[in-house]
Amino acid sequence: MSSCTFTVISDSTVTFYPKLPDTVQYADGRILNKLNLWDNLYVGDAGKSTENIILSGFETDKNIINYFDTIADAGDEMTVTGFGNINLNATWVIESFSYTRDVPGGYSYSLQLEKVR
Amino acid sequence: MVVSFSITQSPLSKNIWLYPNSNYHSGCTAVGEANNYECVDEEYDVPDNDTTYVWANRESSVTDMYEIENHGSITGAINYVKIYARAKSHIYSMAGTGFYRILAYHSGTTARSDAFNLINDYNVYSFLLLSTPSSGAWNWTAIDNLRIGFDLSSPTVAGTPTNLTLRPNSVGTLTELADYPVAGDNVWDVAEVAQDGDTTYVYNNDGHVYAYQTDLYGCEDHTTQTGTINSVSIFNWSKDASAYGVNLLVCPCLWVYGAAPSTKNYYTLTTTYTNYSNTWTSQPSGTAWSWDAIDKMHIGTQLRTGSTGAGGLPRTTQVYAVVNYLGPYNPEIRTTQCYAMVNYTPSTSTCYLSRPYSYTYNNNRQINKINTWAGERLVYDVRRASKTLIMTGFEYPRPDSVATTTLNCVCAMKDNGTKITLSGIGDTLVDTDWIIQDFNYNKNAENPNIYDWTLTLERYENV
Repeated sequence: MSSCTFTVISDSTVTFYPKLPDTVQYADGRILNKLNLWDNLYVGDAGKSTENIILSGFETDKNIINYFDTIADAGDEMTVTGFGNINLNATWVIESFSYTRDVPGGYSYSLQLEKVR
Repeated sequence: MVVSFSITQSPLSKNIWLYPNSNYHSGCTAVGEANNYECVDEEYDVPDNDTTYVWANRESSVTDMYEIENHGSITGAINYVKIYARAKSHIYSMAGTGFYRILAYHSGTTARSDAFNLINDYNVYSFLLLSTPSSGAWNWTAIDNLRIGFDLSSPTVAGTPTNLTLRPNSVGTLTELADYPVAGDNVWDVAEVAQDGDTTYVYNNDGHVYAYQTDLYGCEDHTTQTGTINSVSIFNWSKDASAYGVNLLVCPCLWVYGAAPSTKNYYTLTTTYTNYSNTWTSQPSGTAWSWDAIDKMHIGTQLRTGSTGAGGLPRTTQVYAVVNYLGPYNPEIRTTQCYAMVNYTPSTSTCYLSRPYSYTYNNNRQINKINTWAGERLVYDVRRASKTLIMTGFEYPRPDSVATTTLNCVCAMKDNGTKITLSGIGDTLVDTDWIIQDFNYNKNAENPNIYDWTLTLERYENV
């Protein structure tokens, strides 16, 4: 497990430093329109459907967990930096946040973010 | 030491309904059941109206009181007691001076509701008691000793059309007809209660054609009747006794002292006895009917011979008068339901479950993602979608509790439906208020003393 951290700055200017997640899933989807007209198929791009990431990790600091929950409750945007991937270092909004307490000493969490810009 | 966490619930107020199960005082008459309390003990949402009820129609006060069921094992703080009665004034609304009051009796004191004036259809009336009739605080012993009921007064209303039948009882002001079988006692030949046909009758024995003869008889007086008289009708059971007469007529007639004998419609007789009548909505003089005029009235029959002129052919076997009047009426005050509703707040309860070996907290948001025509993309948070907590653990017999008792304690909270408060988990996001969405437990297949449970909660937020 990495001991490195990334940086989260929320709308409320709360800044905190979670441990880097164990896994990051990145998804970027498009909306395609497909139209059959007189035996011809027309396919066009109608824009982005989603661009999200799911961060999964293990956090020992309960305050970090509470920060994520507070941002989710407020519906704030949050800016992430510290990842080595420019697709992740962006401004996001929390779509889902969950954590599980089943082993002593920490919390497994999952954070799904939708990209704002 | 067993590490547990607690679930605390303060339920919202609840109602229980207590129904009569014994008579305490019976002033009314039961209909549909043997005992008064059985006539009014239907559950509050299934009234049977006129199938079973108790009634009274006296002007002087009438009281019906009942003992009610005990509260059983219910505990909690009593907020108030409300006594209900479903009642009506039968056919006519209650007189303005009448009343219907709901009563509550406890420990020597009777509390009375405001007086209700009943209409002629069933309505539910209630009496709220924030304290006992003797102004003490409610407790469950007072509930068990409570008596409920009502008192009422139903004065007369001018009301229902009523018929009074009066029959001949003396020789009247005119006697022209002959009679059969004993000559000279005409009045008794037509005074029978059920017409007796050719057994006794009066008849026209004039030998001329189209000759009129009339009998008028003294009539019974009214007795206790009062009220406005609508009309007086005179009835004659008459017939044509010939086989060859033509145009024999009868006219039921009357006479009131001070006026001329009054006739009206003439009817052509047939060969079988038929009931003919004439009706006067006022006296023959034109003045309204009075009970004095009724007592001075003579009633009778006028018979006309036919074209042959042979006597003895037109006959009348019965004469009587019917006075139609708006009689004074004491409406029946009917009560079909009487019950008490006790509103109380159940005691706060606390369950102690073993700490879960795992719990998962979910905070889900509704996010809008919009691609605009201008090519921009908007992503923003809208609102909370759900905030759930799923806890899994197991329960086993402990020195101070039985596993199933603890689990059933949580089940009861789930059924109550109100919010619960968790404490003892040691997580500020968890030790807060929730609503139970689901609670399941299974007996462990490997160890039947252990129950695996799952508790699903939704965060309670009232903002």
